[in-house]
Amino acid sequence: MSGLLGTLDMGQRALQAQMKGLELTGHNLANVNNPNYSRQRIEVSSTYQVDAGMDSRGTGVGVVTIEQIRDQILDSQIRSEKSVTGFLESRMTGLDYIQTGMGSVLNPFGQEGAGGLDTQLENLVASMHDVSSDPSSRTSRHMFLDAADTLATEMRNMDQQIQQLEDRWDDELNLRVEETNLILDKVASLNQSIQKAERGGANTANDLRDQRVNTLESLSELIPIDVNSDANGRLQINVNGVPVIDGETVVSRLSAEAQQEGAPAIFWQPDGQAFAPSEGRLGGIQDVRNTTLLEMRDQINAIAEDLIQTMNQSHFQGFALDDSTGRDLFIGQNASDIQLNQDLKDHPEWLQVSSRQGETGNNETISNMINEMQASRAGLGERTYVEAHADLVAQLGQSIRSSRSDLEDQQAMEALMINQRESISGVSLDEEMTQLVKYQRAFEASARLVSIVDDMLSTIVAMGR
Amino acid sequence: MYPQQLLGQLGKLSEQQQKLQNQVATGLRVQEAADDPSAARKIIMWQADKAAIGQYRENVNSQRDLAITNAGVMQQLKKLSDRANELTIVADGTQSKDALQHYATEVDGLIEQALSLGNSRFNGNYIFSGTATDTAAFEAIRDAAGKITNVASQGNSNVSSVEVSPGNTLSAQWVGSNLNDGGQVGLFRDNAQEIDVFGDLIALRDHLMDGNTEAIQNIDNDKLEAIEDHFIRFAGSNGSMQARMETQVASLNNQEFALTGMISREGDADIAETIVRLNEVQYAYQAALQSGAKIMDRSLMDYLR
Repeated sequence: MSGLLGTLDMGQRALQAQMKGLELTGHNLANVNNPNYSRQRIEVSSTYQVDAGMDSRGTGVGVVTIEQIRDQILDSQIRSEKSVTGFLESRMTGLDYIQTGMGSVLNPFGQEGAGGLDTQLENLVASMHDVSSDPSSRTSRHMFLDAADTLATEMRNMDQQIQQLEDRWDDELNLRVEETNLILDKVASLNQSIQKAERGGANTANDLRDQRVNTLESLSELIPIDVNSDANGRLQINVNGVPVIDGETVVSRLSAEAQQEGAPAIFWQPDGQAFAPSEGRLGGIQDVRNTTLLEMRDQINAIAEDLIQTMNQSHFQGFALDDSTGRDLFIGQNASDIQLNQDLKDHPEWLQVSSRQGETGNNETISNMINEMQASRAGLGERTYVEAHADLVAQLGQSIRSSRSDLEDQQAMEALMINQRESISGVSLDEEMTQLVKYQRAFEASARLVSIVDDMLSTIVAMGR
Repeated sequence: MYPQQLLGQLGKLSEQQQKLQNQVATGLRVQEAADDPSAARKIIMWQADKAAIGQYRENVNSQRDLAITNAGVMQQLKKLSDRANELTIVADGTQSKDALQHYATEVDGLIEQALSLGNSRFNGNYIFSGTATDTAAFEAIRDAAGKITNVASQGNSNVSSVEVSPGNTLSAQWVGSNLNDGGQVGLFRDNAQEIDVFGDLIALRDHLMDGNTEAIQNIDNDKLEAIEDHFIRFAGSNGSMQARMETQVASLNNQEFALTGMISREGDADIAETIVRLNEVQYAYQAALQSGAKIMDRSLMDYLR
């Protein structure tokens, strides 16, 4: 069969196919600014042939499928880049927090007269010199005790700042663990929806798949994931060899447990396997918490401990203005609890400055203390207090600087890959406009065919009159 | 995609602009440790050194004040010793007993004056008591008539010194008495030097009272001359101490100047260079904006009707 009516049918099918093409172009154009969208194409094919003996005729065109333009390998590369970026980003954020929180105590630059720990140490030494110049003066004793009190307070402040930062990062880690679990659920439910939509049919749930790609990328920002899919498109996700998602079920979820020291530990439940991510945001948070913050606390504590011990040792042996002896200058163990001895605060005359009884003008003990303040300390790796503090500042600066440049490099790398994907999967306005013209013209041509066949049918009908 | 790239570039350029702008405004190149960690470390160390230098200078100044006080005391001691020496020369056999007794009363005055000088205070501390600064350096023992018959040394012969450069200490302090052999030389009384200002003045007074002109001529005269020499030596050492302190302050000032230069070189922004770089970045920013606007403007849409 064919004939005029067959040709009319052919025209109608062609109109439908061009319409579909136009619709799809519209869909693509509508998603031009959707970063998760990958452009779609209709695949058309000529429809069945009519065999009429010697004369075989085509019957026009039909839409076979709508395909998504996507590069699976690039997707997986982008996921692993996202894990690295996630790690570096959360480390950078952590270091920025530290810089902001500890800035005033660590970074004396650019703030005239702002007291860093080094300024407090300098002030203490200066006031010691004043006492040494006039050991019996109550004014200089007061000033020295004030300086010692300020230094102790500053050290406690630093300790508290670190504590606050640690708490904040523990909260952040817990939140991110919850977020990870939520995303795992979302991926599993998307898997289910995709399976349902594609069941038994030639249809692919393109837009759901786009969503899943996007969700998997969010997941890989948090933890490094390994995505596999079997022949039926069933998705399996492993993390460091631990199966996490199998098709529509979440096999393992994360749980965080607070620790005595350092960041909360993360486990895969239900089998309780420990998880120490080296990439992803979770890894970045643990890194800041377990290296930078811990080291910083250790170093500040080392300075405080050494200061307490050394100053007390010298001071304990000296003699006060009333010849009394055997008092400590500082009370406490480390930066968390260092305090000026309250007795001395109340009685500056009890400051033990002299090395011999009955010598109010003797400054040997305070001179020893000055020397100790300026000497290299074995407990600080043969560095002076100021050097140890300067190293602390420089180290933090260096970590921030290198983290920043690592992050910039990584972001550039990720952007490059996303660009590449965009050039494959992204919607190009120019291309879509061309498609639009193409389909429009094809539509017009098919419509013309229908109208000509219509004319011809009219002619035939008129013949019968 | 292009808009994303453009945004990224604009973001970077505006961040650079902000940084440079900040450097120009504050004049500081290193505003946080991350700007230049090694410079930051150097700056902290140098700032500590600079603070120490300021403190050393204060220490020197405190000793200089003490040296000036000492010089004042010495001036009076010198006058006192001159007069005592004059008296040993004047009081010879030609003088009447009354005249000698009159001189004796004058010497009494000199002894009182010496005692008061020996117990001089500076900032509330006895300056000649060694490190026992709350104890008067000398205590007079008087007879019923209130005349000084003996002067006891109190305090000690230790001095307290202050640090004036790393590992270097200095003291302008003089001790009043040194009853040991060796150590700091006592100004009023020193065993090793056989100096006893009070003892010799008391002996002179007693000889004057007794009219023992022979002892005055033969013994007291020599002893008081020795005291005069002793004082001159002290005055000399005080002068050289002050000179040493001047040199020390000058050297500290030089070091401070050098450190200030070093800190500025590491930490301060080169304004000319920074402004030029700021201009460059501003141009780049504007260029990115303009070219971006032009490129984004064009698409096939413009050519279709």
